[in-house]
Amino acid sequence: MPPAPRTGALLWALIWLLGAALTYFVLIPAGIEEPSYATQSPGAFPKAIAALIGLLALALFAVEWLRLQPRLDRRVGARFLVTPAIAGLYGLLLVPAGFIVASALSLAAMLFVFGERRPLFGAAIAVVTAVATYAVFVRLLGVPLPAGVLG
Amino acid sequence: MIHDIAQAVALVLTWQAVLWITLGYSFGSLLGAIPGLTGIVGIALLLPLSYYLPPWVAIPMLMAISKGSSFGCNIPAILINTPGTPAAAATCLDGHQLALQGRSGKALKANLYAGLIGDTFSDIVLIFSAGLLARVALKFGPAEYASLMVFALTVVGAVSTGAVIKGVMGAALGVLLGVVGMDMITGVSRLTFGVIELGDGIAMIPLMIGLLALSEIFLHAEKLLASRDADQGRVATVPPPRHPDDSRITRDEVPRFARATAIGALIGTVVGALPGIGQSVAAFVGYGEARRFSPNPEAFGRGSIEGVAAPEAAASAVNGANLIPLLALGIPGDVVAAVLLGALMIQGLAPGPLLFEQHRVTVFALYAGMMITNLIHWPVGLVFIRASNLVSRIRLAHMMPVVFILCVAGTFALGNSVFDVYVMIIAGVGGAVLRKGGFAPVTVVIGFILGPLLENSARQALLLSQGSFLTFITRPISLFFLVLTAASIVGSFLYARQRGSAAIPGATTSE
Repeated sequence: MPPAPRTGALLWALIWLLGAALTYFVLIPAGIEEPSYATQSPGAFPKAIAALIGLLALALFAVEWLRLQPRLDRRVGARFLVTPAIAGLYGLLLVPAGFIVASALSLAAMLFVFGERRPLFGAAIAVVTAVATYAVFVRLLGVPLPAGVLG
Repeated sequence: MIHDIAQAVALVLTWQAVLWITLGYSFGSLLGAIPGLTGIVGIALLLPLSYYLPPWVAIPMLMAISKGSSFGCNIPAILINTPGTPAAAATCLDGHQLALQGRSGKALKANLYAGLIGDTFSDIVLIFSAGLLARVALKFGPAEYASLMVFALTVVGAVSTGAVIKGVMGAALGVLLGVVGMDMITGVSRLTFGVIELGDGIAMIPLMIGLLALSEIFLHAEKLLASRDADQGRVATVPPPRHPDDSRITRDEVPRFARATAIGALIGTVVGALPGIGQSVAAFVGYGEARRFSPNPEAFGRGSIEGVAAPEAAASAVNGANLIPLLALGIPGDVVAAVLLGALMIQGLAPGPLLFEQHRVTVFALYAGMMITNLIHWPVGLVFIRASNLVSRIRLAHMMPVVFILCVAGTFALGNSVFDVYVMIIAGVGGAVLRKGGFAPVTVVIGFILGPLLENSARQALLLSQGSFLTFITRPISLFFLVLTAASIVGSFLYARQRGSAAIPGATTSE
């Protein structure tokens, strides 16, 4: 008897199918204007690709070998969101606080997440890396980075 | 002729010229090794300086920056799975797998030698057949480019064997992301929803760094938090070699390495001679073809030396071949060639057929300078490999956050825009989620790079043929690529059925 289809894989196919439908029926009509003067529709190619994704998602849903795919390791959970949240805060702080301050803070937080439990050592790595990176980019290469509160 | 060549060699074989070329190469390698920075930044920085140097020193020095960057960007790609350029994404597939097995030295040396051979091969082809290849390249119209892109997309099958539907879905998602921005044919904004920063499309390097590098950092962090075990963070970034053979190419590996390098060099030279395609297409086509012709294709994606050699030889071969349309016709094949065109003009050299008649000695001197760069490539590359060994001694817990900061700095510096940083972070989250579902983020990157090229070429071809799709099969070169594509797809399915090959672990997961 063939194994029962796994809900995880079916859920993935469903997510892709919904995404393709949303793109085809909502995002493309709302996001691409169809000019009357154009001989070629600027939305035709994106629509074809969205349709292709939808068809493939249907195939993914149906094809039997999908049941044999490796198990999904974990659901997207709170643990997964910790580092992206630090990254997001870093992005928000980058311009107002400046590269050195934002980098040192987020680096220290990430080092803690990655298991570094010596506060002085972690802080030293964070500050030295932030200052050294800033010096290389701004002073040596002449590539601007936001100075923020230290500017 | 002989007198001209001797005069050209004498011009370049001075200690000043060799010093400038060495500095250019080292500078390029260093820049390439910083994720987000590319050779173009270095060339732009030293372009004003080139004005004060004679052309036979200035142009090879700028070329050396580009060549050094091609080599350097593969160092983080191999060691920490962070490609600085689209072409380096192909090197990640097997290079990083080798590094995870404690064979980073082998991967880096394969990268160095394959790049050196690819570069030298294309330079020799440039010297002896610039005119002939330029004429072939001129026969490529939009239909031929579109078919070539379709053929290049078959590499998705190679990087997602066993999960082909997921691979194609990933590539299609990449193509869809690639259409964001202004439509080149009608001038209409597509899927920007009023966001000004998306007017030029989603920036490629932030997207790539996010999908490939940041997603891995996020998943590592989750794993550490899940285990609540700080000792996991004490694991080194890449394990040290266990045997001397782990740090070199062994005698048994030489034939496989040589075959993959030859395939890559040949593909890179042909692709490089075609304006507007560039290293990324060459690297992925090189990877796919080396796998197809390999007696051991199932090793690809699991740490195959051929999987490192072929894309690097192909990407490096583009460097020399790119100068074929530039010098012979004045057509810059990519951004580097466009800047070099500017540098040539600054020096009072107008590329085109007359260049070879009016400035013959200077052209020969440029060739000699490129060959000197290749000679320098070897020792300087070995120094960089030795220095990069330090990375393997750094703990993962310390390395990952530092890589994150470098990714942010490099991404911000690209366009001086915090929006690019957001794109990178969103792509990182998306890449991590895709990896969790068994999808390979690299397929999204492939679709993103090749999709817009395919769309523009196909639509231009359809405009020229007044909407007739027959143009793709009535033109011999286009038909040739379409037949190759069909043969490649059928061959892959037959091979998969015959051998029952498994999915490439490095392409789909972060393990």
